[in-house]
Amino acid sequence: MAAGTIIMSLRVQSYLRTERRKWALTQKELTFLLGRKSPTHTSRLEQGKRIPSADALLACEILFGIHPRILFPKLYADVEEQVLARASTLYEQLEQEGSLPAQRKKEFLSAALKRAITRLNQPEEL
Amino acid sequence: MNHDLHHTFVLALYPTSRGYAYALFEGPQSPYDWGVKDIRKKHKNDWTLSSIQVLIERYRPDYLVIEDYTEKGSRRSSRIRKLYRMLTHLAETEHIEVFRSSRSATRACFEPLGARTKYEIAQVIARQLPAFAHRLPRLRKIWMSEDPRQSLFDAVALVAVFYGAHPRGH
Repeated sequence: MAAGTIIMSLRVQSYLRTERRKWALTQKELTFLLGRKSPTHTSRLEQGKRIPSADALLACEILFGIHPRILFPKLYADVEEQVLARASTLYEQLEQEGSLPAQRKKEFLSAALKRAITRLNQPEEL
Repeated sequence: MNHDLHHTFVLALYPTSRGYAYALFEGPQSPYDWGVKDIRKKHKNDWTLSSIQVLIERYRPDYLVIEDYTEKGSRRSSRIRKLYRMLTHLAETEHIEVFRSSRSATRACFEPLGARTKYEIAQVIARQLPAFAHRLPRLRKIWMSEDPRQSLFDAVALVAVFYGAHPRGH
């Protein structure tokens, strides 16, 4: 980060407004950079009232050089929670199966769960 | 409160004759939001208070940092002193811890960095936190009134004193 440390905090919907203002950009200018027409779109992204599209997420990462996980901590946490719940459901369904593909899938799911636990135990600081 | 200050929101407010400036920090080097609000209406304190209430509801800060207006030599007007009392009451009702920073504490905090005047303090802040560098006002001449952007740096200076004074803000 150019201007100090960003600490992930789940009280924060998004760091988009902070980053935009750090670089003296107006909402209109950021809207242009994101390839949108209305600053309302940017405003809603900043307030967490709208889920950013995949291209907006990538554009933000390209512009600010910050991973979407850090730029949109609340969105990331929500998605992570949902994905991990589904992963553990699938793992439970596979638990009785002993076939090779099932074992491979279980390896994959447990690796994903382990990564998530590691992330939760080590608060991200950039 | 026993918070880790790296995961708390600290809101500093600096009222002026034309409104107020605010700076919200997540950590000593992590400004989250900041700005200068212009309030030019009758019953200025009521409007200011309701504007600050919106900020508090949006961010739910853990600490509110204001100038210690009770300190001997504090040169705030009676309206602003009254506003500070209203803010303290608001913080109490919202269960937000209030930290009062005196002018002498601000001077003591920035003197080792060679900054004595408000403008020099603003320059130090702009150097250390590039997010504010583009908001630095021009050097004030003796016939000029204070630039509203100066109050933003005054609010940030309060935050610096808060983080420098005590890890828990008491």
